[in-house]
Amino acid sequence: MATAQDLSEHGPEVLLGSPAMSAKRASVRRFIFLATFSIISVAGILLFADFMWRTAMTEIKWIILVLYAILFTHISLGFCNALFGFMSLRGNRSVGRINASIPADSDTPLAATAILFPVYNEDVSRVFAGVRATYEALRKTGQHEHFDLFILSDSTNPDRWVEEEVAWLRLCKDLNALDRIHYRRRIKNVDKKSGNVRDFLETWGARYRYMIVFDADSLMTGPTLVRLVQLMQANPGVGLIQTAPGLIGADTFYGRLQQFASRFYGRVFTSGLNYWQQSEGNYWGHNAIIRIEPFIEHCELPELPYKEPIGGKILSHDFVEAALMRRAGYAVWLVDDLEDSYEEGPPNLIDSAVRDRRWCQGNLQHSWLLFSGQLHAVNRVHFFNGIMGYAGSLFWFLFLVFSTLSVVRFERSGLTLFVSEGFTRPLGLSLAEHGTLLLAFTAVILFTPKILAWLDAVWDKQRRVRFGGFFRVTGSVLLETVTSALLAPLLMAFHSRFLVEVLLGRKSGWNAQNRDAGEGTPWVDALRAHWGQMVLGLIWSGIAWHYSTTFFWWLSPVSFALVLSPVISKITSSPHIGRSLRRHRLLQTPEEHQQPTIWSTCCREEAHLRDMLEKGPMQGAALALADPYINSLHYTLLEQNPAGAPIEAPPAELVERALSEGWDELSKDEKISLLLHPPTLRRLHHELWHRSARTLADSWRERLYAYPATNPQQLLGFV
Amino acid sequence: MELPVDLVSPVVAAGGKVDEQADYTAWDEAYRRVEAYFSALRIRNKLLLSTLVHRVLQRAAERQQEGEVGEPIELAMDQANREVTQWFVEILGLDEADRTDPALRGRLALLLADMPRQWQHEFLTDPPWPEPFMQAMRQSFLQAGPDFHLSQMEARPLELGPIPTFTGQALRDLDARPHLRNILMLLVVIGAAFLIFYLTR
Repeated sequence: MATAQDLSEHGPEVLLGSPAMSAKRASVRRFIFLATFSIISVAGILLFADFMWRTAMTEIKWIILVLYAILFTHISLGFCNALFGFMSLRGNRSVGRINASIPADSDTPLAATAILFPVYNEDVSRVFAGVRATYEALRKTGQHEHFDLFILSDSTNPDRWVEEEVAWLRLCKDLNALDRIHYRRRIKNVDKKSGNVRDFLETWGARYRYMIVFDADSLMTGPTLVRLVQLMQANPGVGLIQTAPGLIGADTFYGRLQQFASRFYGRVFTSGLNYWQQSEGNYWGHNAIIRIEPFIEHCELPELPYKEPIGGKILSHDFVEAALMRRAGYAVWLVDDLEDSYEEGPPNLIDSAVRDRRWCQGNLQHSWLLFSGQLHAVNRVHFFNGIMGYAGSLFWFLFLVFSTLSVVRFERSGLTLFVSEGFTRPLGLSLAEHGTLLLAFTAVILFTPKILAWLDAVWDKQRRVRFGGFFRVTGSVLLETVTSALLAPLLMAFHSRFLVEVLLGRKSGWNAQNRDAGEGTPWVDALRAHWGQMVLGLIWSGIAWHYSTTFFWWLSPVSFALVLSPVISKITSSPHIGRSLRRHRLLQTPEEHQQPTIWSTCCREEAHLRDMLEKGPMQGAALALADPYINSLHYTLLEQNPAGAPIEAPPAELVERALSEGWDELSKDEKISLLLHPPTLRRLHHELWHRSARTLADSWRERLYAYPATNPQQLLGFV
Repeated sequence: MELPVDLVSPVVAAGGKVDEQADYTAWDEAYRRVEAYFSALRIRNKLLLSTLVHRVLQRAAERQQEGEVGEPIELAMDQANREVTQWFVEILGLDEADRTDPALRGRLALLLADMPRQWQHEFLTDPPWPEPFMQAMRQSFLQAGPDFHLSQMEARPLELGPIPTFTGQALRDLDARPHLRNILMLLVVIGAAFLIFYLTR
């Protein structure tokens, strides 16, 4: 295989991966982007600084100015991304895009590719429905012989573990794909997801040229998967191509808001990102294709100085892997114009916050890498932007706190406001007009991306129709804007807390992501999660009201949202509202307008699999002990598991307890220890079926005797 | 599905213990267990199921009559296990030297050969068996993943730069001096309180 070094000798075009753009032209693009970003940022900051100065600069106003500068710079970056993305979408789409490097109907031959599904206590029905839909989609392309699928389990829940095995075998049997779809569970979850992928690479990785990394809820259509491999084949200097996954399958109000935002606004942002980052793109951890050889060679994560959660093992591995791939000389691309790459999002604000807690810790760890001269500057911009995703919330919070303190100080001083002239003197603006101008300018920077996305849809008839038509698109944008404004202070409070927790050394757990809407967040959970925000909002409103009613109303969009946080959280979690909006075709996405086949296959299979796993004679890990087939399956997989150290036999009294007291009486760890040891597993199966009723727990007897009465269709598909 | 107990009773009666209520209940329990076991093997054909259960119980009762010790449930399940294992040995062509557990190998082969759907009527029958069934049973083999192709991932050194290096060292030093760390933390809190006080004057 050619190395990046070899390829660079052929000129920058090859290394960039797109013959349509030279490195020089890419530099010009970056310069233009940076210049625009700088001009806008400086203009906004100066306007604000001048506003501060007109009423005399004090220490507290310096702090406010610095915080505003940081926040404004951050939103300017989003504005520029959207602006350049919008212009790029209206321009020549074949320039500067990896997807344009080969013709749309290219017949580039494929190479061995592994599709990875790392899972951790996920919903088994959903995961395997996704695997099935992916495999069937690949089969339809006729190119499926180039792909192997791997379910890489790190599940620690014994029920999930055994259900995964059952679902895997059933899937392989149904699709006649035992040699194509593989399952492996790690005994120890060393280094979480990155360790899981590394384990695959060290055992099987060298068999394949590429890997496509999925999340447990990822989906990609067959043609998209094939196209990704072709793009890699045609561009040997490219190490990684990231797709821009859109959210799909949301049911709740919150979920559909996020889904609409990702699909509707995402296009201008990703197009803008691609405009300036070009071959120095980023990796978002899933829905991406990776060249395995350089990944093995160069992308093992370094250990950070200091201990977790601030240092230690890198939690958010993706950004770092992209930077390491780039350091090795390989290009990293975002393919923003390749559709049909999907993922699911959290159904409510609380689940979203749980996920953010983990990402917050991971992104903050990237601070250690910001100053490394060995990494590309664009990768460091990605790190900085990721950190600001959370630190920005804390800065916003502090900006509001210091603004409050400033008001308190002024009101307590009893002085009259003395307004001097600023550099806006030629405009003859009063302080109120200056404030209005400042507010308007900030609003333009903040809301223009949404307006540009709206224009992008309005001008494109096909896109407009797919999002519900002109009026519904407009209504959806307004609804999303108002609701996200209500949600923003809540996210600010969550993120600020997470950031402080991480800095104080509190680690994040590793939770499976929840995608099930249920009946929405219960009131008690909403109150438990938001009571702090509610109290903060009440105290803050009280202080503001006490010192200045004007300031109270200025602060009200934030403080009212905080006071009402449990209500907002509860309402947005509602699947009823979500469905009602769908009926009225508000917040509609193209996938709701016309359901992709891969998604309908996934939904159908998920329902089918859930039915079988939940309505059989028994569920979960008990199957591995009692069911003759699952017992053999589990035993065989244990024997084939590439575990290092020998497994210790569980104590005899535990085996006896499992039989005489019943499976449900054991703890999770006790169950795992029984499920891990092959001879014990064999013995338990034998004893369960051979023991007399007197020495066997009632629960076991009932489970065994349920077999003759069970509907054949519910015998895990093995009828 | 359950079979009426009187179908088995004549068999048990041959042992001469049918009038004892306890024994009668125990054989009923044995009957239900064997039936459940074959059902767990996905034998869904009622006629086949009842025939197999009947046959196993009859042989278990004979063994008890011959003086073998054990509760009916144990004898019946042991008999079922023997018959199934012996059948696996024959159909899979296993020999004594083969260290694989015939029951484990056989059960998986049954499933992969799709016995419950396609070959149910062949279960526990005597040879000759249909060639496709035998082939399917003997070729059924479960492989969770392809053969290993081992490689090693090792982190390459990454120079972080002076600021992170110094910060990392300073944090480690502070950890080594917990009192100093606590004093610094206290100073930060006092400093923040003072700042708020000062800024609101």
